[in-house]
Amino acid sequence: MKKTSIFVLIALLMLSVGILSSFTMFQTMMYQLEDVQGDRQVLQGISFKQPAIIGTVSMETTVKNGEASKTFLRDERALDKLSYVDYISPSLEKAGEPIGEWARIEEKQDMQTYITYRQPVESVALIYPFFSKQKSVSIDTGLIDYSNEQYTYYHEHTLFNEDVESIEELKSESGYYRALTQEGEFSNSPTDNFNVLVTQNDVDYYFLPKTGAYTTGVNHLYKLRLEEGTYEQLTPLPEGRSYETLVLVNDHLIVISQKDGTLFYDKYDMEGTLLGSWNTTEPLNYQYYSISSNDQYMICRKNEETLFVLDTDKMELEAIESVYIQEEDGKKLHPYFMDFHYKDGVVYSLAMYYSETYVTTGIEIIAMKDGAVLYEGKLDYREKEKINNESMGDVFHQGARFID
Amino acid sequence: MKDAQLIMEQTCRQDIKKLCVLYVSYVVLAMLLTFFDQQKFQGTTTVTSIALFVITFILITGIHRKRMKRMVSDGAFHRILLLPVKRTSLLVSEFLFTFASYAILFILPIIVWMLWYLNFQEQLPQLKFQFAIYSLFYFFDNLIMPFDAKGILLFIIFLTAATLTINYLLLSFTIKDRQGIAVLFLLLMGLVAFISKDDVLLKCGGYFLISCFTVHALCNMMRMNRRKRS
Repeated sequence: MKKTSIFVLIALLMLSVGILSSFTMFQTMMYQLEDVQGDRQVLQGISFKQPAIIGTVSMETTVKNGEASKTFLRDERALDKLSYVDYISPSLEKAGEPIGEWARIEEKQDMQTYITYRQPVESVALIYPFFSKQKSVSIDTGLIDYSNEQYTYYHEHTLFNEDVESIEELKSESGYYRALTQEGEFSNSPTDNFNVLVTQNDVDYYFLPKTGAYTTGVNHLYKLRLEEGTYEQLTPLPEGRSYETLVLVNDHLIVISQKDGTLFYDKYDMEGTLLGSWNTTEPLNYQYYSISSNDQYMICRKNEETLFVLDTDKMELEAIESVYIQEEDGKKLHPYFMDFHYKDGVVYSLAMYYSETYVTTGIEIIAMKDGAVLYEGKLDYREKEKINNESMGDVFHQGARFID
Repeated sequence: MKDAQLIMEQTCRQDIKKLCVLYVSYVVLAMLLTFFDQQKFQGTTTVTSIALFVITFILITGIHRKRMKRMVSDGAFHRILLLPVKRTSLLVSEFLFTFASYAILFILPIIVWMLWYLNFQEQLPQLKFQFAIYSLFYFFDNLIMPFDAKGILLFIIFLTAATLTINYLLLSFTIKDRQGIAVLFLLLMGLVAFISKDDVLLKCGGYFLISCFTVHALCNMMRMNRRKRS
């Protein structure tokens, strides 16, 4: 055989081997479900997915009936939409008079000096701007929130490397408003809005403005059509409550509010008609980020150790279940719950447990019934790679979610 | 095909040694780079390995350019045109040799990565993804290390289109004919990579069209030259 022909043949052989080995490497790089305790049979009929971004590739692992499979995608289109739906911030506008003098705060950051002029104000108006690709819409809620002992609203101007001749100059400019605690930190005020915007079809959005104990005015449920830039005020909500969260459960809206430590779960239809209500009889350690729903069930954390399941069809308490707490070397690990699912009396949870040094156990699925662990499984890389904070830049995990 | 093999043997044989030296140097240098940088591994290797790849690519193209010049200056090119063989034989021989040379180059990073990983997998398991992803994915836009059928298709079509474009470019610049079109094809290659950034099938289609146009243009060029000579 001729020398050049051998060269070409070797090249083609190397090309095939190279392509196939790269292909195989990616195929073997996946999560597998490993049993920790219990019988995997309990996962029959349960599916969940776990998206992860590896470099510029996104890998989505789907576990169905206890068997893991995966898909690779080059862009992030496959991943859950993490848009403005998660966090809504109001634009605060002047409502009350100043209650103090202007203060000057100088802050050095990255070799630059920022000068902030700040004046406490009595109250602000909560106005919510929403933007879509084409249109924008601004909802004037008519709600006024007052400064109080927990947080104070400030009218601020931030200047960059320069000063002004007099405070009078600033008064003519608009500036901005924000809520700060006495220590100068961001507060847990109605300006922090999580889980208040829901949608079923990416066209009609439902919005509940968050309110606190120091908010006055009648709160409403709003229906937004972002693409058209229009909104509709649906229904006035009972006064005197702090509105916290809006959840979409089985074609119904559940509005969660609280008054004197009692939580109210009000069920509305999509046109804003009140259909039913349920409230807790004892004060809860309320955690807004641990609410999930599937079918007609809503699963909520009650406190560190327990959670409860609400049947929203009947608006009745369906079950109370304990939260699975893991320990390592005698120390409790911090759980981070990504999602819950309720089926046939079993509460399934997807969680990650962190030690004090932020090393995680990986993503776990836990099935519990009547306080007993039916199954515990761990999603882990086949190569047993430890995912810690340092390597999060390479393999970035999105939250795992149950698929209905 | 036999004619093409014969022509390839006559015109390309001397360059195999040079190419092999280049490949071995690439592997040794890339291994050294990763070895020296294994503790930090935060991007310097990425840049240097990409630079090394690009330099090797340019050197290989230089070897082909020299071969083409040599062929034209010693009259081999014109003699082959007058030989009673199919007019595509020269094109096929050129394509096969150039394709093989670039194919090996594109596979070398994977070989380097595997050699490197086999050495260090025990000590640095967390770097497994880092090398594969940062040094290969970002700069080559998923061309190297395909992970699905679409990726493999794109890889092969891209390699074919790139080889044909370079063949056309080198040939037209050596015989000083239709250089404008050659540059246009090169720009089109870049344009397809840039415009259809996320759409693999669109990219495949773009490269396939460029390949067809280039083959057509190459055949035309050869026919005109043959007519001129005869």
